[in-house]
Parts: sequence; structure tokens; C-alpha cells
Amino acid sequence: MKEVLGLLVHVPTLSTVLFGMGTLALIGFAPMFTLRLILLVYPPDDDRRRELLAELYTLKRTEQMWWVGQQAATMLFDGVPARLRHMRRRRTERELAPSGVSRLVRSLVKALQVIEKWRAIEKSTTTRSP
Amino acid sequence: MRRTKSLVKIALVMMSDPHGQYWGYDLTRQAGVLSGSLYPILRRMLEDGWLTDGWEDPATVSDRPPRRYYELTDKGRAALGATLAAARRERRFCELNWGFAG
Repeated sequence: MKEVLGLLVHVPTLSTVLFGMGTLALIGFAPMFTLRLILLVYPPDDDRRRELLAELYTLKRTEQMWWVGQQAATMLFDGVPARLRHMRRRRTERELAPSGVSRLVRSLVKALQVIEKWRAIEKSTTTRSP
Repeated sequence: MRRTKSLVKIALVMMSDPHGQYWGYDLTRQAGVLSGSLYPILRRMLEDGWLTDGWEDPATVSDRPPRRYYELTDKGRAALGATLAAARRERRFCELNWGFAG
């Protein structure tokens, strides 16, 4: 009994137990909310988001908790790779076509700014000289 | 695609009715595969052209959002047939319930 009480007073153990119980309660009482949190890992345009939410509606209340728990694993093996692919795709898209154009536009704007500066300097020198 | 036990279980279910429509949750129950294995396999099968997907007609469902279903393509039927034929010869798959597919 003393050891059990000792474990309960032990802060890391207590916080782990409370965290576990909190997670279970969250999945049990708010499965839809938990699933929506899990689905945030998927890229915004991924059909899996809609699919898993729709699947949850077809389940009985007793099955929902188990199903949502499973989706945490699905998120790891399906959602995280999908998110990484999405990030990589966006990065390459940014690096390729649009960035080339934007770099060109930026350098053109810089060149125009320099020309304007020269003109302003020229104007000021011509107005001063007479 | 790598011939895993999960893939063979899914193939067994899908090839029992190769022209049917399948839903994710039903597949997990029928095949006895956890959704953590099922959905990555379904994604790969979609990318390889083994499956097509679609959504239920919203007019037919009233109290819930439409579900996504999967159907085998000709390529998928051929590929899963070949997967099952190869798996039947392998020892590690002998404890699976082959049913009519065997």
C-alpha cells in the first residue's frame, strides 16, 4: 500500500496516469473532436479527411472510441507520409516555376529602382549646374 | 507492391466480389486488418491504378455525410489475382482463410 501511495505521489507517474486518463476521456466523450484533431495532420486537399469523418458517422457509439484510437495509427502510417509528400511538392513548386518568375520580376523592379535613382541624381545635377 | 499479409487479406476480400464496391471500415472488418495498414495500402493501390474511388450519392444518404467507396479496376483484378496466386504457394500465408479464393 505504501508503495502504491508512493507511486501516486510521484509526480511523473501521476502526470502520466492523468494524461492517459485524459486522452481516454477525450476519445470516449468527444470522438468527433479527437478525429478532427487527428485529421489535421492530413494535407487540406486530401480526400482521407472527408472519408474518415464520414466513416465515423456510420459507426455505433461503442465502436467509435476504438475506431478513433485506430486512426492515431492510421495518421502515423498514412497521414504523416501524405503531409510530407504535400510539403515536398509545395516546396518544389515554389522552387521551380513561380520562384523563377518572381526572381525575374524582383530583379526587374530593382533595375527600375536603380534607373529611377540615376534619373533623380541626373535631374538634381542638371538643375544645380546653371 | 510488396506482398504482405495485410495485402493478401485485402485481396481475399476484394476478389470474393471483384466488381463490388468497398468501404474502408467494412474492409477493415471483413479482412481483419487494422486501418493503420489498410489505408496506406488503399492509397498505394489507387496510385498504381488498381482501384478507382468515388463518393456515395448525397441524395441517397440523409443523416450522415457521403462515404468514399473503392472499386477494383481491370488492372487491379489482374494484379490481385496474381497476388493471390503467388501467395497461395507461399508457406507464410497458409494459415489465412482462403475460402473460395483458394
